Amino acid sequence: MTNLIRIEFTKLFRRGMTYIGFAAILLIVLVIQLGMFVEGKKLLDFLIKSLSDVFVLEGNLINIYTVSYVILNSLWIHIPILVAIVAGDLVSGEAGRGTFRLLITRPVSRTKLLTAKYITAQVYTAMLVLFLVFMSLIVGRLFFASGDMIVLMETINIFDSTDVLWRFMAAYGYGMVSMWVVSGLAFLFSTNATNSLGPVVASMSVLILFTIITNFSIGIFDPIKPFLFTTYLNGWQLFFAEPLDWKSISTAIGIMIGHITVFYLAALYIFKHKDIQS
Amino acid sequence: MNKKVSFANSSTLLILFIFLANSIFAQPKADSLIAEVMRKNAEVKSFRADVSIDVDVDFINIPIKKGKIFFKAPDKFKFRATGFVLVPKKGLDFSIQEMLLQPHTAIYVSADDTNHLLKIVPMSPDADYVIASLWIDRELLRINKVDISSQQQGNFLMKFGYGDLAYDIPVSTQVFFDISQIDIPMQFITNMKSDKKDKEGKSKGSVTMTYSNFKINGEIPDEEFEENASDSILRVESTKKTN
Repeated sequence: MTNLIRIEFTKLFRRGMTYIGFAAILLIVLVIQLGMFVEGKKLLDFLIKSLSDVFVLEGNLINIYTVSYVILNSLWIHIPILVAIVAGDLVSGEAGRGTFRLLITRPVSRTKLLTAKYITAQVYTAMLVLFLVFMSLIVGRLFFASGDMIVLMETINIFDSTDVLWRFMAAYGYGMVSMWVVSGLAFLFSTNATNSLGPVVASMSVLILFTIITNFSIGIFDPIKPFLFTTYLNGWQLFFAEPLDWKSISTAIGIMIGHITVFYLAALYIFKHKDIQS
Repeated sequence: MNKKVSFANSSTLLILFIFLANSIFAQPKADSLIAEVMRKNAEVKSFRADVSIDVDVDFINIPIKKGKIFFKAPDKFKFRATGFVLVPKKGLDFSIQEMLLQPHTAIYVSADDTNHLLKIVPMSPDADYVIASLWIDRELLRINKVDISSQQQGNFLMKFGYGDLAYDIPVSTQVFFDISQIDIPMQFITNMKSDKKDKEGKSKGSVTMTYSNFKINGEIPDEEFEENASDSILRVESTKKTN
């Protein structure tokens, strides 16, 4: 299995499109950091202007943690797209390149083969998220100092600088799990396609549709919202509440792990019963 | 008849005299109380202390921030803290002193077991308050409570707690105020709940500042009041009017 995974990784990183995700994250983060560096203070002053009627506001809230929090919001759409591009190509790409039959003739079970590809997809997803962490919290130090963090979520929450880093690590960890769900979905579609574009477009369409349903305040959608994985994708924000709602966090993680498992098992079933003709 | 008229006139004059005497003797009492308070405050030439600031507003969650406060007469003031700090504009003892140094009329209202109650009306058209109520301790002649109505910032109620210091420096200050629920555009970050507003769209809030580790009338170099980029700094500009 280790050999299979290593081979899949080698194949993955020999393809140019693999690096699109890292390049896109680099650009997204740099653009946000530059924007916040130039205009962030004005934006924050505008948002909390009325506090200055009563308080003197002292201290710099435009710091690495506040900016990284803004960057984390890219987990809504930007990162899922980058994840789906690669995960959606891992199986369907083989069909598109005509290498499936060659692959299947090897003395390796379809289960192992698919599992190796699946692990590759998820490790790649983790690498993307870790790269996001690196760009936000490490490279960001070139632009911003450390400091207290402000989060505008139902209330104005200001976190002491010593109380922030662990929240970010937990939020990124949660974000990684949520991106594994997206990756798993794209991978599932990939097992049933013969070209890469279909799974990517399909998974993005599902993501956007479910996101709309999740955020639409219409009563008829309420019964199905708990079953949509998009309901939990932004659960990383829960780590920036005070006090922490551990019950909601653990419920969300459990449901996402359930989705990951279901997507994997469905992909495995499809692949094992797939009639490969190219 | 003449004797009756004469007696009536004398009684009237006597009553009038008593009334005037009371008025004349009552009128300066407010000013003398304030003068005594200011005189005692002037005994403090400088001080430094540790301060913790606890903000209690229903739509703001901020941990208790700690810092240091420096004061040097007549008007040098400096607050140092690490990180972000919300310091109430009203509620520092110095803001009360500045208010009393501006042209005003003080009116003695009443007294209870503990305090004299005065009303302060500003005489300057540029004053940032409309009227203030002062509760001055009857025995110790120090300000226990202040209620300020200002044009721009609504009402502030300040309560001062004193310890065993040799000078009239409060060891705790509580500031109560109304604050408008801020309207942050949803699309910028996320939703803001605003379900605790009263019908005028205001929430109640308070800030408690607790001082400790005082060093009074010691030497504080002027450099201490200069800007330091690594700290949060509050500068209180002197608002004394010069005639």
